[in-house]
Amino acid sequence: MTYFKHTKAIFSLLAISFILVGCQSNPQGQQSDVAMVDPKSRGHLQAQLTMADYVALAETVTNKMLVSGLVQNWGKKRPKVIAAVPVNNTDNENVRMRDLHDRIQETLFGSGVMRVVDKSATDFDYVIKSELTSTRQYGKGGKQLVYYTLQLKMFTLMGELVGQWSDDIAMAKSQKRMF
Amino acid sequence: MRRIMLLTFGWCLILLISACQTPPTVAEQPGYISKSTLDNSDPRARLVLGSNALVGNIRMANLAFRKVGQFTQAQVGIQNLSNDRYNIEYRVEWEDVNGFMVDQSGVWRRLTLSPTQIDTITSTGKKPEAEKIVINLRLPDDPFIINRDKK
Repeated sequence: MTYFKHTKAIFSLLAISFILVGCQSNPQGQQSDVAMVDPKSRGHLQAQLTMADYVALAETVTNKMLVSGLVQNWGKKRPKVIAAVPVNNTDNENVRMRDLHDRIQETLFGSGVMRVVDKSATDFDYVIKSELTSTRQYGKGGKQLVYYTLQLKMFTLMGELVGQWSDDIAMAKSQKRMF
Repeated sequence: MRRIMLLTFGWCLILLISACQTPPTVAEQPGYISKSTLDNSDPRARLVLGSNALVGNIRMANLAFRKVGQFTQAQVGIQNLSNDRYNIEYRVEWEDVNGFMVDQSGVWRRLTLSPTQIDTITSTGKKPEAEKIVINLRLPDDPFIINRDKK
């Protein structure tokens, strides 16, 4: 009789454990308070530029440059180009201009239509100068409207402007919530 | 007592068998499974809608390709078929002739479409071998938006 009781208990336990195992959802893992996000997404906590915005700006202006008549006429010549660090003319001195410069240089280099040389080089054909500007409007309750513009200008060795391209990013910050 | 034991044992066996069954298989080769969110009607362009809310409301049209120097440039019309205003995000990728990704550098970009509006996306594959365009469309998404699929 005791043997049967024990066997019954073991079988019941087995059954419960099978049910529990069977009912659990697919393992998804748990996250802490910090989550990994898509680096290509454009989430913003403030009306300031993020790394994804730098990529977007750099990509658009360089795209415009690459399809321009000037660059098309180069053919397979691949001139030497210096990409200068962009000038920060925004109202925020904390913009990471070096990162923006790296993104522009990466896109230029990746295109393969030019040879990118260091600013210390003495033999080059063109200089690419860029500038980031912004305008900001403030509204009631912390509302903000910000426009960032990236200008890309290409000069010859003699200082002649041969091409200019730009792109804008606009951001709107909503009113602060009461609760 | 013996019947209860047999019943329990049988039940355990059923659970065990059901747990051991093979999971549903992934898509068979070759190609993507045809879905309402996927438009690959053009051999050089693929539109992937990232939300069911966009199906039947947003479509691509008037594809055009041209050579710009050694690069390929694509122009795609995005048409809003609905009477709603859509704020959407798009991301462009480029594949070579064999379907290998050669340019995935693009970030998500915002596009606003008024009712029945048609807008144009222009992109240049920044590699000489870039031949086919892949356009991903979705409703705006960032880590701080919840219930993004509900329009």
